[in-house]
Amino acid sequence: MLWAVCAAAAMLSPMPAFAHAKLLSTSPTAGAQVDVPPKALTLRFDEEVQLAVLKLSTGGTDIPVPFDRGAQAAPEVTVALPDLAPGTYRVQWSALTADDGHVVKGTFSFVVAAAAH
Amino acid sequence: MGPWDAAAVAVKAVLYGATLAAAGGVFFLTYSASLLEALDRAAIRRRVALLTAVAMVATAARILVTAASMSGEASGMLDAGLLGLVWHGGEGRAAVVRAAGLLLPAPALATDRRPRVWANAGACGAATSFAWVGHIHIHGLRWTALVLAIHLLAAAFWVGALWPLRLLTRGDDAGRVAAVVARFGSLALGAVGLLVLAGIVVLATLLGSASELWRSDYGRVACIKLALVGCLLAFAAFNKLRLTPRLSAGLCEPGLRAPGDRAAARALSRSIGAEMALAGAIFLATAALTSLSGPPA
Repeated sequence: MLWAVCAAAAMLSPMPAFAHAKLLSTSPTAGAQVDVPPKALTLRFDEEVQLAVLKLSTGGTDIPVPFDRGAQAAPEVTVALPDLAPGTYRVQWSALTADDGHVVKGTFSFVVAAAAH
Repeated sequence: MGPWDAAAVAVKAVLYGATLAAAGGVFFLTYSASLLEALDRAAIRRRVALLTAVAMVATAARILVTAASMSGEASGMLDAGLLGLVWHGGEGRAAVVRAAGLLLPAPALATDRRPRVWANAGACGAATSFAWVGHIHIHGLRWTALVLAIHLLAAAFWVGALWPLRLLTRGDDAGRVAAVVARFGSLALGAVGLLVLAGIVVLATLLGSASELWRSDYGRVACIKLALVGCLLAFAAFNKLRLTPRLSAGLCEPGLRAPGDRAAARALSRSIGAEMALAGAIFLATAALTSLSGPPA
């Protein structure tokens, strides 16, 4: 009975809640169509992360995107992009949350539109 | 969930099971050695050594598979930079503590001596190594890590007794089984209480409020774990309140007279087998809980 009371008290008492890092936004925005090829890619999180994997591909072809894995953990990560031709680009990213060492990852796409003539 | 994510969860479940069962096996040898025959002690020592080896391999596999899961492909396991990141992200520290803890009881396991302070300290270190990394370290709340350590120690005590008890129930001397079960039962009451209370405190801290149990993915997986724990507690209560007295009295089945009858031992063996299966499911649910989704914001 004592255990049940303690357990109920623990569950019902207000406490701070904790979460994995969450991706808040990206630049280019997920699903966006941009007229000018972006020079950089930015991922914004709600807490500090260390970027571990960033893969950019279009039409099944990988495009090398160098970045520094040893960089200081930060809530915003920006990576320089090479010149991008018109097409649909898929970004696969993965990061470690600085606080708890947990893995967060995801994918999104953006489109670089063909220049109007 | 990709195949590497599934592999990461499976490896973590094996890691939980092998580490806690090995650590608990050392505890079991410590408090029951005087009640066991030399042959029983040798069989338990061999299995603790085997579980230790499985836990060591799973510790290494955990880091490799995490890297593959982050990369999304097998080549991640060969990416030194990625492996380094996983190692320094906290897994490395936990792996070192776990490996050291698992190896400390080795000298005691090599002989027929009862495990002493160093062996038990090592077992405690291995069992609590999971508290060195994970959700509870968000915002630096160290007291939650201590509560999780208590939860892990109690889990090791319980799980680490199941497999040796099942091993003993397969032998010929049901009277000896009754004595060992009675000793385990006298210690288990407090351990199981601590296990449940500490688990609920950690869960409540991570969730923030009871309503997150059904509102968030994390809470729903936690509900599955809680349901499995409830079943496990029911089996444990059945063993303690029904089978253990019958084991001593030889009244498990009609017509049985002698104390410590074999039939009672067989019934207990089946029940403990069910407990072990439930424990495996709990490890799988916990691995999913700590890998796939974070607590709600």
